Amino acid sequence: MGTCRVKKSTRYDSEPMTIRRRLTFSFLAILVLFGLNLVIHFWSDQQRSATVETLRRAIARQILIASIKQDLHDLQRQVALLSQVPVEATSSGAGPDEITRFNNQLEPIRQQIEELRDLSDFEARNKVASLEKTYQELSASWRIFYENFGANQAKAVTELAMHAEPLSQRVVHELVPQLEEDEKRRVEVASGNFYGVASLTGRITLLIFIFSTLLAIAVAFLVSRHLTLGLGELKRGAALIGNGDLTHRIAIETRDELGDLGQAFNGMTDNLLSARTQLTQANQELERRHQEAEKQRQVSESLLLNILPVSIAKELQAKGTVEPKYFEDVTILFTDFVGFTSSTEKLAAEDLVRMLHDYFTAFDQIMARYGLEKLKTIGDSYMCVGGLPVRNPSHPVDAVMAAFEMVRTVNEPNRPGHLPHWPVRIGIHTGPVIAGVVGIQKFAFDIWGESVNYASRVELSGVPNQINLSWRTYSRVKDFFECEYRGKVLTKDKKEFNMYFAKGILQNLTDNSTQIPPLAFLHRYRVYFQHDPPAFPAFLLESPPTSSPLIGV
Amino acid sequence: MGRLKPLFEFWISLFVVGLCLGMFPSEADAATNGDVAVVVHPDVPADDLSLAEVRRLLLGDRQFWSYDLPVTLLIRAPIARERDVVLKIIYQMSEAQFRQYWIAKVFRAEVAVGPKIVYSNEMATGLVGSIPGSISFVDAAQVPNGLKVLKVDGHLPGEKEYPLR
Repeated sequence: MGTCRVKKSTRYDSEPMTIRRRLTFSFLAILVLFGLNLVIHFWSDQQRSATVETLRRAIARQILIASIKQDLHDLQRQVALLSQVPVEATSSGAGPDEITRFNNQLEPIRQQIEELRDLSDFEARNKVASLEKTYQELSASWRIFYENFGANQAKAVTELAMHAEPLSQRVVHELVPQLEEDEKRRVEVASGNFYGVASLTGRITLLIFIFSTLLAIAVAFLVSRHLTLGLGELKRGAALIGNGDLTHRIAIETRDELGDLGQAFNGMTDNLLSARTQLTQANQELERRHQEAEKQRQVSESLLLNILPVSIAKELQAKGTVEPKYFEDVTILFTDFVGFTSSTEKLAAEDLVRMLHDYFTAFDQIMARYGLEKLKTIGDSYMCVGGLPVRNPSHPVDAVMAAFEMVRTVNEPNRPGHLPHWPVRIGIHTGPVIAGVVGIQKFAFDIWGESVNYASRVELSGVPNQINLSWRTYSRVKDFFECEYRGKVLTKDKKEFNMYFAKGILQNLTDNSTQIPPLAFLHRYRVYFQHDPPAFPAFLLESPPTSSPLIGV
Repeated sequence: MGRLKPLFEFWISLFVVGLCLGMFPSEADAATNGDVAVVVHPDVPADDLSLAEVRRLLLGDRQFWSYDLPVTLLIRAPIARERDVVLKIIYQMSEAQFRQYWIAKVFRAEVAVGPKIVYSNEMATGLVGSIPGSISFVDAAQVPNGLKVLKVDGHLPGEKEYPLR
């Protein structure tokens, strides 16, 4: 199981801290920082603008005050010098134009003072108002002086000395310097504020930047760490699960997408484990059923092979049908128990069937030993064939050797005494047939052709415990067996054919050796058929063939 | 018209008395002949000044009698004898130098006000009497009552060591 466990988020029980929520919060935090930066920017800009405006107004006032001061000084000098100018005794003083010009000199100062008043804040307005009022008095006094200068010198001098000069002294040396000092202080304050605001906003901007950087780093670290741990756990778990360790569980306990993914992985693993368990059980069941089916198949195949040749059974299994085939050279063997029909009336059915079963079982074993195919039994008749479905050239010899075995089997003396003895009549014929399987139920491998009918007639034309051969079979086995010519035998269909009884192994093939089969027989067999005989009826070596029947009836 | 008759008789009498006084100068008048008196407003907190102090006042180097009482110089117009005495003894300047001096003084902003021209002793004494802190130089014989005449170097006009004459 995983050792690295991603901790469960417990901050919000109802609202889990999902990745989307984390990213949203991070984005919002960054947005807030951006907004904060923006607010700080606008605030600092406003502060700077305000301080710059304050500074600008203070400087403007300073300039105005300096201008007023300069103009006052000029006027003061002008008046001071004018007061020293002697005039003619007959002078009538300044004319209207001169008075107007003088007044025009006074007016700009008044306008500048008004402008100064407009630029001043509430605190400074009182002083400016005082300046304005004093200047009004001063200008009025100067006007009086100027209007009387030369005309009424005493009044002019009196006005100048009594009013204008004290007022000008007050204005020039008291009010204006105070304003100058105030404005200088304000400019210094405004400059200080400006640099203070600039420094403050700079520090705040730097702090916000540092804080933003730290927050961004922290957010990036936390989110990436969370994702890395979760994805790493998922990757490791997926690798283990992919390698087949279905007991592994991904230990992500967070209530987010990774947790959901981990749970989905675990659920998938559970399902896989369950499916694998079910699959294993199903495989075991399937194996068991397969074995059962194999057994059944083997049983059915065995049954099928019991009723069909191997190659035919395989063809039938493969194709579902068996193509009829023409075999130009096969040996057909028929047997028939003599006296069976009469025995059916005397024997119990159980005994009758058991006897047939014993004989036919023995016949089946003989067929198996000599490579012959049992085709069917019809009542007490047993039909088999050699040379099909696998073609081989030795089938006539093999069929005759099997027939010797069958005769001996039927005549063995170890039968219960109360049971009757049925001699067997065997007919063998060699010829062409057509072989095939007919029917879809209880089908059977069978052969058809004239050779089959003739083989049956050969059997019918035989005698008990003798192996009756057709001429064609005889011609194929005469180099191995002693045969007795029977002459032309009238068959059931009233035709005559040459027939022979097989009596035993040719004497010259027995070579008096104890080897089974004898070397001479084996040698010839190999020379004729290029293979060894499947079996050999050794009992034929015990008694040499005679013209009489092999075994007495 | 009945009400104007007593006022007319008063002025006629005053004129006759004055005429008599002018026709027959006193001993004091004779003693102060040619002296230029330094007259100041009665509020001026000084009675005796050295010639150097008078010079500082007239040169504009001292502009206040006290912290709230400025000095107002009243100088006679050119050609007047009092002006010549002042220029010669106190300023020790010619007329042109005097003018240049005050122009320069004003333009250097060393003083806010300059001396004011008066055209007669009467005007001078009148203004001195009416302008606080004012100081003027008039013929000692024409100093009216009510004005303060300062001693110069401890001497009043008419005295032998009085420097302004």
